[in-house]
Amino acid sequence: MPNIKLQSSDGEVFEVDVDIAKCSVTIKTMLEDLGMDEDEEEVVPLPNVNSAILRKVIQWATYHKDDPPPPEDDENKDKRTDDISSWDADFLKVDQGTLYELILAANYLDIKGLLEVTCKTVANMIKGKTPEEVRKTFNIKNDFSPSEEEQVRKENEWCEEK
Amino acid sequence: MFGLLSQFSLILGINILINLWFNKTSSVTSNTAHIAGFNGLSDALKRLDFLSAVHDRRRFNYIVRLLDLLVSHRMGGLSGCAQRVLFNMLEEVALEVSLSQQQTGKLRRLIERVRAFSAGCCWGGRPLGSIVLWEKHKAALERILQIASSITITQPDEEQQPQWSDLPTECRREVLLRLSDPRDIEASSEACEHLAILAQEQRIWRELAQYHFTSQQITTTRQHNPGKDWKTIFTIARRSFGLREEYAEIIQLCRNCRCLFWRSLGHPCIVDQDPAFQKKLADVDRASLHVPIPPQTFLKFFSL
Repeated sequence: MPNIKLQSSDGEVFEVDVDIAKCSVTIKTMLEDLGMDEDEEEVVPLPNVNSAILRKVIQWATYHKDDPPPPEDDENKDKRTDDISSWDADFLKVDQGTLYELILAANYLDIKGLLEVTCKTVANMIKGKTPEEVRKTFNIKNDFSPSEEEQVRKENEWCEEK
Repeated sequence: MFGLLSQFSLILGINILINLWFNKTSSVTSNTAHIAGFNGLSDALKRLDFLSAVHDRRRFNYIVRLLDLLVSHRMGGLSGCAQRVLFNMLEEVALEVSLSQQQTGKLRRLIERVRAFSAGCCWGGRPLGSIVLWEKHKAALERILQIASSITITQPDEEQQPQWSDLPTECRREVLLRLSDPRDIEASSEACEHLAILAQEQRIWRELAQYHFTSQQITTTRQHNPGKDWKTIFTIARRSFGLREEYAEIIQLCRNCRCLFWRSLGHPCIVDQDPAFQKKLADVDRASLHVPIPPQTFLKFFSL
């Protein structure tokens, strides 16, 4: 099976099956645009992904290589469940920093499935929480002026009225 | 629907791999708190292994919704035994929430409801029913409150990079687009200015509306409210049609053997053991034989 070489930002080179690497739309387009021959010894540089994260991304892509292709964009009916497979849930038992790096990598490499499951994992950290708890979870500051805060709350109250 | 249930059986305990067969010919009697020959809700909850299922992220929401319905409206109609199972489940929910630090709001709501119920159950200065049982419930509630009050959200290490606020807007938007409960989007919008701005985007509310309502429902709402923004459209549609209920994992009813089971765990179906039956069902779509049972319907089986 043809392999491709991917180079992380810190210079480590990973040899990956082309089909697995192509789950990244970015890499797929790159290969097509450059017309890279599969037997060429070319290395694809990925300056936005470090080796620790690239290793995880490859691990994820290898596990999911036989998944059916994701549905087209207009079909967004089932993208909000907490339906995360147990393999993915275990895979994503990482600290917040790593989780965000995976989101950034999935976004840059354009890997729909990985972006889906990482964003769901972060969304689950918001569900059922108060604004104060959301702040604590993400380490964010309340940067509203009192009048702004009042206005946001009022708008939301209107929506919650039965 | 109820015709299906006139013969009712339950096969469960798949986790422990002992298939407890439960085959009772019975009829659903109206408004009595049991299905004839079957020990009611507490038995079903035990056999479907609800207690340990609380710790399964995929089943957590289904169970919490069921508990919510029970403690909000139907607590008084439960047997002492079912109440005890309920308190055990609540305690497991509290433990799970404290461990995962997720869904704290749902736990708070459950506790509030249980407290309101137990406060309303006194007559002449003492609780109705068995005093011993009530003492046990009170002790359980005490423990649950203890767990709930000790939950503190661990903040991420400030040294760690990247932080939430380092994510580009497009990534943070992707996260908000995965929330299905409008209250979660609203809570986020009250957390900080950046999230408030994101939560005002039309796309957030348009896609939320598309998730909860059919395109027909959306078209009608938009026709009746021309020129309104998507948050308003969503709010109006929600009042008319209600929100969609969705669970990662759900109890299903098999129309052949009339047993209840968790979708992912499956069940030993009579069809698989009987070649004649298999022939008969050759042209039938197998998926249509399993009916998803939302929490509301589940309780109806027990006349609750």
